[in-house]
Amino acid sequence: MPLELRDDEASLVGSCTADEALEFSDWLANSAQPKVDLAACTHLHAALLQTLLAYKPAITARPADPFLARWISPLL
Amino acid sequence: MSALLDQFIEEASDLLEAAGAALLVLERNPSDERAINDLFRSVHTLKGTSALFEFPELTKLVHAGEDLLDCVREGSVPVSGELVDLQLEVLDVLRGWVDYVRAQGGLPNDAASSSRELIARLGAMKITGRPTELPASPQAGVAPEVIGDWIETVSERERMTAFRAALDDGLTVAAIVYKPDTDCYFRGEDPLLTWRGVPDLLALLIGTVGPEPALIDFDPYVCRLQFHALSTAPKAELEHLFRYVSDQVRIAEIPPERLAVPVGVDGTDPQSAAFADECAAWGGAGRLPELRERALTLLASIDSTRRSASALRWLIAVIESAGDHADWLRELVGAVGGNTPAAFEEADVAVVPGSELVDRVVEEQRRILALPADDTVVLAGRIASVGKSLANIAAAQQAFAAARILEGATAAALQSNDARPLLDALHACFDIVSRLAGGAAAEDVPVSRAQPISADGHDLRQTRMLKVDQAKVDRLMSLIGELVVAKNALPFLARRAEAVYGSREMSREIGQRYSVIDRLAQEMQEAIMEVRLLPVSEVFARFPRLIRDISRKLDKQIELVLEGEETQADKNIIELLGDPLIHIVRNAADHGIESPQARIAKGKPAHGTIRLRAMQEGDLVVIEVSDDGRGVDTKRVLAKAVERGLINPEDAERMTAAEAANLIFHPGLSTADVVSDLSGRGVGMDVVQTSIRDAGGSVSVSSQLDVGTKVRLALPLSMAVVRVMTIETAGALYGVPIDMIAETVRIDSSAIREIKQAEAFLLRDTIVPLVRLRKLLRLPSRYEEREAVLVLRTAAGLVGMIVDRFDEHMDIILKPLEGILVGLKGFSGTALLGDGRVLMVLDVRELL
Repeated sequence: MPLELRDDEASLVGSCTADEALEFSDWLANSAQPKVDLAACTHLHAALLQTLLAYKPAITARPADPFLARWISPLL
Repeated sequence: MSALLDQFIEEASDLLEAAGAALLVLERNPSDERAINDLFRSVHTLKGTSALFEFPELTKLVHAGEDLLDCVREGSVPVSGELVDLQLEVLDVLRGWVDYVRAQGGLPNDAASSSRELIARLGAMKITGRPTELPASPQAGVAPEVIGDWIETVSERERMTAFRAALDDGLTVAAIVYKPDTDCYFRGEDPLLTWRGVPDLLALLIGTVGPEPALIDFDPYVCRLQFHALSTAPKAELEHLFRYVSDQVRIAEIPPERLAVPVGVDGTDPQSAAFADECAAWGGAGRLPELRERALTLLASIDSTRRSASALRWLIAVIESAGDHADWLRELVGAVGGNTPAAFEEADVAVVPGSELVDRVVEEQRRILALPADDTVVLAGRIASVGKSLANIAAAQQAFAAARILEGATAAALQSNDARPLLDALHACFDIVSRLAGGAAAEDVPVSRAQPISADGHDLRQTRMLKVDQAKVDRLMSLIGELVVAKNALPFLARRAEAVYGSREMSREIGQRYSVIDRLAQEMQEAIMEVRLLPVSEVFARFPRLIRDISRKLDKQIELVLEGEETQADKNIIELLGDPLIHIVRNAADHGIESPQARIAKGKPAHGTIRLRAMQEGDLVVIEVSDDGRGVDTKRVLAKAVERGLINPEDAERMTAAEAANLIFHPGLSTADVVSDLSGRGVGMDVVQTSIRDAGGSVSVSSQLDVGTKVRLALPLSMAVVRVMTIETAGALYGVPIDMIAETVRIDSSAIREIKQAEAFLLRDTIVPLVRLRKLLRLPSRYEEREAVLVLRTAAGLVGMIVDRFDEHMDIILKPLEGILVGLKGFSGTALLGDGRVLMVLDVRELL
């Protein structure tokens, strides 16, 4: 399961596809102070990126994946 | 290659053929519903099937072609010569690609760029109904759009890396702008995944388009991202990578100086100003190390966030890089002093410069906007497409501010579902209105709509057809051939059963079985022949296009009439007909049909007619190519033949008109005054004659001056089975094609007259020359009381050939001579007989 949702923290694990975007954005919309862990994320679908950009949750762990670390992480 | 791909290739070729034919019909009669439907069906099917494979360029190009056809069907774009030209060009390109796929399994490397170029031209034609390069030519339209302000927002460090890669390593830096469609996620696209694959990515800016929506309205599946990037990968490689989304991506190579833009806080300090003043006059490579030292020193002492500091860093980078770039240095030195470097400024014009073309395009867009719309969806579609076209035009004309205004107005118009804001912006940005005010162009032309085609235009009545590789049919054919030969062994066996083993009953039984197998074999042979039969329309299909191209090129009016296209012949014959027919038809169009003026002067209709007629005559397929042109000037042909020493003047005087006309088949005799590039030198009717004769056919020409010319080709329906008469000479068996034989006679040796060394005999009051096969084949001579004579039909009249003995008639499968036998003169091929003997088939024409 690429998307692990807890009360106030979500972890994106492995390759995360567009299928996760709706559930993720619902979770973000309903969390008071959402936190997101990207450490184990190996790919982020563009729909998820734009969700992150819209809700601007706190990032508790940065992605280790080189592409995400270099180009995506600085935006979050 | 997969079977599916094979099938696609076959089908695509057929569809392209059909589309081409329908297009030509449509050009003659733009309202021909059937042609439109045929064309649509072909293109639509091609688009659908191509999507099964990884040929996005092909699918997109077909799609763009279909789009334009859609406008034609709706009547918003007229069918013009240019439109047909462009669509034919597209079909040619597609055909080339399909051939390439057949040979290489993939599309050629330049497919992406030619696809884009053609799509742009199709798009332009769709807007204006005219061919134009304007809105989409990659040089004019794309580059300024790609290389824009955003480059300055790329961090200085990243830009400098790219700059150094360009100057020091000689790499090209490509700018990539990727604006995914809002609904791209639904098509399974993941822009980030695409970016992951981009090699040598030096910078990637990710932004969102438009105003931030309230979180309550946020839809994760409406793509709002846009990307700008720099990469040192080759442009072609990048285009390949983005080929699936090529309509959302722009890629252009950036000149390195476009990267060297100083950015930072404005304002200057006395130190920098002094540096700029002092160094402004410096030139020459000699003092560069000193300039670098001074720049480094100054850089250490000033605020690094200032624009002047940035300019210093670039200055150092330029000095440290390879090459002499005095003008860049000058600009940068100026920038250190606080100048805004002029060279880096974008021309930003709010009013788009006009030109005849721009005016026309814009006027067309204005007309579309002004059309009454009763449907909001239609209106929104119009606004979006007009807005996009106008912004493209503005960008192509370097008026970026205008482009932005237009984009904004489009958004506003879409929101209010009213064309007014865009119309206003159009008037503000393009000053055409003042020039066209009150002109006829401002009239709103009503658009007539063609009847929509019923449900997809698909033909419901379907015959189940099986597509089979030709090679498989050929193999079946040769297997059946062998069966026929094997079956012929049974009568020999029957005879042996009786003669050697004394069993008459066994012999009869074998004979009975033989007749059954014989019948089956014959039926099989007929069946397979039928499979191999193709209609001559296969060959005729290419002529409408050929005639169209020739008549456009030569400015002649030529009508092509095809008759008897359903006549069938063996595929080998059909294939063989192609080249000679093209030659003859080109000759007719090029040398036969006169120019319209000349025709009118002769009292003929301005347009000439070329008639291709196919029919079956017995076991021959006959094709006639006739034209109503100037005809063969036999006097001139004769004069030329004499002049070139092909015939002597006495013969020339005796020749009939028909004989003279047939001289055009003589090698090297041209009947044209001017040898145009269409028919090539020497006209080459002799080549036609040779290839037709090689296939066992004949060619003749009849002509009347100023009335026309008719060329007649006659070929056997099938080349595979040859009926021969077998003859025995010196213990060996030979075959002579039955159609060469006029009759067989036996004559007394006393009836043979000797005329000098030659022999002849009288056949019903005609002197027929005699030859002896033994002599022709260099075999020992033999003279008999009564000689067996085959009377042969040849070009030079009847010839008698003395052979040892006549044998039976036989159907044989003629195999051409192979290997070292190829050069053997006098034989056209061999056949295997039922008893295992080899039959050599004589090529009488060559022997004599």
